[in-house]
Formats: sequence, C-alpha cells, structure tokens
Amino acid sequence: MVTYFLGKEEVAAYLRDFVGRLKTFVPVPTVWCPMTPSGNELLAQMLSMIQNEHPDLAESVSVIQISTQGEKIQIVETEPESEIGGKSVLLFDSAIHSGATMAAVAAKLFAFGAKEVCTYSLVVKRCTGFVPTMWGLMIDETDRAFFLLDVIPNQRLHSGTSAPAPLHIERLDRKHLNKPPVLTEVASMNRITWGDRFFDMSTNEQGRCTYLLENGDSLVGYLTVHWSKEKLLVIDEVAIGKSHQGKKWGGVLVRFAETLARQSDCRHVRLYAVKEKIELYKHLDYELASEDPLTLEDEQYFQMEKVLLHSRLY
Amino acid sequence: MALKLKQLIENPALLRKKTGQHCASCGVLLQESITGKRKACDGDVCSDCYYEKIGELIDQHPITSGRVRRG
Repeated sequence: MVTYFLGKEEVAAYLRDFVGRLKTFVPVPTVWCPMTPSGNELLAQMLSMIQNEHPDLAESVSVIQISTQGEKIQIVETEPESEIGGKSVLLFDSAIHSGATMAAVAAKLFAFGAKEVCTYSLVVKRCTGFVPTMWGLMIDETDRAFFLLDVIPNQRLHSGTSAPAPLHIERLDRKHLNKPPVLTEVASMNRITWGDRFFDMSTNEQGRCTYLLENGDSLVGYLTVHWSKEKLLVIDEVAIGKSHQGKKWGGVLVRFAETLARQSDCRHVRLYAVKEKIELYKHLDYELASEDPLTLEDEQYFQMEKVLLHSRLY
Repeated sequence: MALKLKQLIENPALLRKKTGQHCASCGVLLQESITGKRKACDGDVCSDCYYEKIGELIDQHPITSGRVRRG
C-alpha cells in the first residue's frame, strides 16, 4: 500500500498538460462537467491557467456541475437536453475507483444527446472498470492518493464521532500471558487463555495473530485474525470486555483489522456473526458467505464476507 | 442556464456549491479518500460512523470462529 500526495504544483502540472492535450481534440469539448466536489476543485485549479494560457476557452466553454448520491445522478441547475444535446462534452473527476459512477454519468450524458464525451481523472485505480480518455496517475487498488490538501488524515484507533480514548494495541506476547482475561458473555471464548492464543500464534501456519486493545494499562478487548491464501483476511475473534462495553471499541479493532487487510493486499474480510446479528451485518455491507452454520455450544455462527477492494482485474 | 468558464474566472465562488453527498449519520461531506464512504443501513456513511455501528454490534455480541487451538 502506497500513499501518494499531490500538492498544488504537481496537480497544476498534470492539469496544464491535460488542458494542452484537450485543445488538440477536434472538436474541443465546449461543455465541461466536473463531477463531485473534488471535480469542482480540479476546475478551480484550472481557472487561472485558462485565464492566462487559454483565454479562448473562457469564452467558449460552458460548465455543468454533476452531483452524485449513491446511484442517483443530478445535473446541477440546468436544462441538460438543451445544454448538452449535440455538444462535445468533457466529464472529469479527481479520482476513479471502481469506475461505476463515471460510467453511469457518461451514459447519462449520452442519453441527454451529447455528441461525444471525453473523460479525465487525475487519479485512476488499476482495478477500475472504466478507463477515461486521459488520466494523470494510475495507482494500485490498495494505494491511497491525497491531493490539494492542507491536512492529511492519519490512521487512528478511533471509531465514531464520540471523543476518542488514548487506546493502543499490543501484539500478544509472552509478557501478556499472566494478564487477566477479557470476559464476555460467550463462555466458549472465555475458556480460551492468552496462553492458548499465544500457542496458536506460534504454531499456526496461516499467520494467526492476536492483538490486545489497551486503554492505558487496562486490557479492554482483543482481536484475532489470520490470512488465507485467497487474498482474504479472516477475523477470528473480536471481543470487548463486559465492563468496557457501550463505548463501541469493537469498531476500533475491526477498523484496525481492515487496515491490516489493505496493507497485506487482501481483497475481502470475513468474520463469524452470531445468527441473531446476521441481518445487521448485512446492513453494513457484509454478505453471507456460507449457509453452513458453525455451532458453538448453544449458538450458531455464520461466515460473512465484505468486499474490501473491488478487484475487477482479479 | 449553464455557467460560462469566463463567469467562473471572474467569480470562482460560483463553483463552491455543495454538490457532494453527505454522511447519512453525522452529515459530514463524504470524500472517499478523506472521510471514507461506506454502505450502512441508513445510507452511505463516513468511516468513523461505519465503525461506530460495527462497534455497537460487537458490544452486543462478540465475533468468534471458535478456531483458536488450545495448547
């Protein structure tokens, strides 16, 4: 996983090349459609360049902003048929991930009668299902690209909008073996000791690893994961001790697990949800991976998977 | 009526309209590489809100595969 940072100078250099090449098209697109706020931000970066270097475009080009909300596409404040019909259109965004949104918007522009749709994105992920006419930088699907930011977000052991706690994670080691257990409502989990888990880490061939969540010197929860051969990270255990429940710290551990998954090039994560919670996990983008339940004492658990990265190339 | 580039050069603030999608839970403007954008029961949400919902579920019941081999 690589993090790219493109500051104003780098973005301006890509855009200067882009606009120069765009002017060689016949005809030059005269309707420009920035998608989403980040597409608007690219256009904002181009304005002074156009004013100084391509003043002819300032007179001839119309701008129609495109807003997307999930699968809903909105043309902002215009009568699209009359503005777009028969015209050569430029559609651009700052980043293409799966490419589904740009493909859908391009189709909509054609439906409004666009004669041609030229497309551009500053960043394109390698797994995209839609490759634009021009792009600046192609990155791997696990990579991140930040551009035009004054602040770059850090990774964090925090979930939710509540005030964060000074949590940290320690990988289970010999020094933890005498720590008190983290007790939950699930007896089968409570019977497994830190020694059991450490033994499993030491002997397991799938890189099984247990991580301990600590608040100060208090052990509040744990996470056990392993990596399968199918670019899949399996979350074997996530538990928060009874006395620390209600703070949603299980989300911190799942977030960390997904960071590990991305870092290790996994495409999916799998977890085992108790039967009563399956529908709730489905609402959080997990799908049932098997109809066969795992029975632990009087409870049934089902494998559920979530696509972490849309791997169209794989 | 669509804007002309010339109008935007003269008044870039015209471009600053809120054309983006907001988190269905906390309302933050969703930007995939900054806030994250994930599916949840009440619509697309930011990563912070998504993991908060996962945390609520785990508070109610932990995740276990029963696979840890006891030494």
